[in-house]
Amino acid sequence: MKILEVNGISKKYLTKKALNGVDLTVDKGKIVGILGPNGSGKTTFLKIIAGLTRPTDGKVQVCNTEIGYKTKELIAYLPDSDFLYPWMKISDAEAVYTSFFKDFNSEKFYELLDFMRLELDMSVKGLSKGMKEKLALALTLAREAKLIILDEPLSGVDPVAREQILKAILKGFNFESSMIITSHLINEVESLLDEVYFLKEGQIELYGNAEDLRIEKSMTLDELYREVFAC
Amino acid sequence: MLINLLKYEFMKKWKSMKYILLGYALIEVILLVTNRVLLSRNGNEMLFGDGAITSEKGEFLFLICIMFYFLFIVLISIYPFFEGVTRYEKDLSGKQAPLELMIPAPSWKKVLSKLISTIVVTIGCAIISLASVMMFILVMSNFDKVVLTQISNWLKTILDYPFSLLFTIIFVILSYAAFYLLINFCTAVAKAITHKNKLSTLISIITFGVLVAIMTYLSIAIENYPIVTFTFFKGLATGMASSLSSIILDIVILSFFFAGTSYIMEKRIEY
Repeated sequence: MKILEVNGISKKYLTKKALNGVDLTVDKGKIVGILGPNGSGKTTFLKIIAGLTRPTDGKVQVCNTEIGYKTKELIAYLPDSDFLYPWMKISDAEAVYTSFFKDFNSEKFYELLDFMRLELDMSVKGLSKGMKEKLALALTLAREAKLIILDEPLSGVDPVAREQILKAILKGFNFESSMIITSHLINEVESLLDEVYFLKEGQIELYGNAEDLRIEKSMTLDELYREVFAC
Repeated sequence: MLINLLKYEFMKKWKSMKYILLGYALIEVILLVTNRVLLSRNGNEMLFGDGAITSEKGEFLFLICIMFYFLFIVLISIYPFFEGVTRYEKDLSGKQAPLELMIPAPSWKKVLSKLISTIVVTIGCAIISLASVMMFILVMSNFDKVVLTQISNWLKTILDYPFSLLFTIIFVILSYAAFYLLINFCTAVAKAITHKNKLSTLISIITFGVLVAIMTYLSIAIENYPIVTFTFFKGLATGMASSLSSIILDIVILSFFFAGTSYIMEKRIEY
């Protein structure tokens, strides 16, 4: 079953083309990696799927529904920046998610908090960058959404926290849904990915099943990334 | 969903206002007590009422305290409006915009919840301001019977015209809502064009100027076709004439800004 279907997506900012005719399909139960250097259009692409940015051209459907406020019920999106109010306690953030997202699973959230060593009465203001990232991830993964989008979940996080986040992603993933991850840290996320898309200057340079690509090219994804994006 | 959005808006407002309200209450109590003490030291027992004595010394500190007391009343009255306007701007392009924009609700509900919560909080602050003024009068008059009678007479005069009072309240709320939505509409137009702060502020100001000019022109033009004329504010002051056509225009303007802001937020705002 197709969870996400993207056909010929383009995005233009004045004269600059951020995306140029991108096609992508994500099936149920799959974890897809969008890999590319800074400025390749990864975040723009994810924002289009999340409904935060509109494409200049092309079509996006999530579970056969055109992007709009209704698809926001189907998508759990983790942006690449802090998005929680500093005055919030973790319990406030939970209350906000519970009231707006029908698919928010509080028990799963508590499990993830426990796993991340976070507590409900902690204040967002007092959390370190890594802890904020963990909290945002716990909130996103606690939703039983059809499509989970993680934009750079490992950026700016120390190696120990990174490992914990990767474990949490695996723990929180449900095979009834699908996931899209972007990351620069290919080595770290490689083991998670079923499919990969290499995005270069707004276009898909290479894509395929992660295992097939590794066998076909006799390289790890990290080596393949270096080859595709070598100057 | 609208109820959840309202709860969320009130929670945001409460979090940003609770210390301000607490600070306001503290400052006003301190200023009121200081004023009372200064008035007594000046040899006067009351500032209002039959026993009031005008001081020729004109205590500087006393006047400063009164000035600050009323300055804080004005600030607390206008704070909800500015808080509402800046909150909307941040919700569209600030750090927390992804959380706001990912809420699975149509934009008109989001705009409506912001409008309702701002109006309710403004009414709350207006009541606090009125209470502060009343408190000032009562304390400074030493709870003089004459002053109390004057206040109750004034209230009776207002209540003698219940329909006029109700109509005035509705009129004021509608005008306030239209102005709030006008500012939000200008913000949404600017943010739909650019997220660069300086440029978007300039676009907002230009949009505001153009819209105010159009509205002023329409308001003047519509006075030629009044349909029915009547008087507002009976019992409050000398009264203010208005017409059915201008009220219809106000409602059309309010609806336009509401629909326009919602449409831009739904279809044009990008993060």
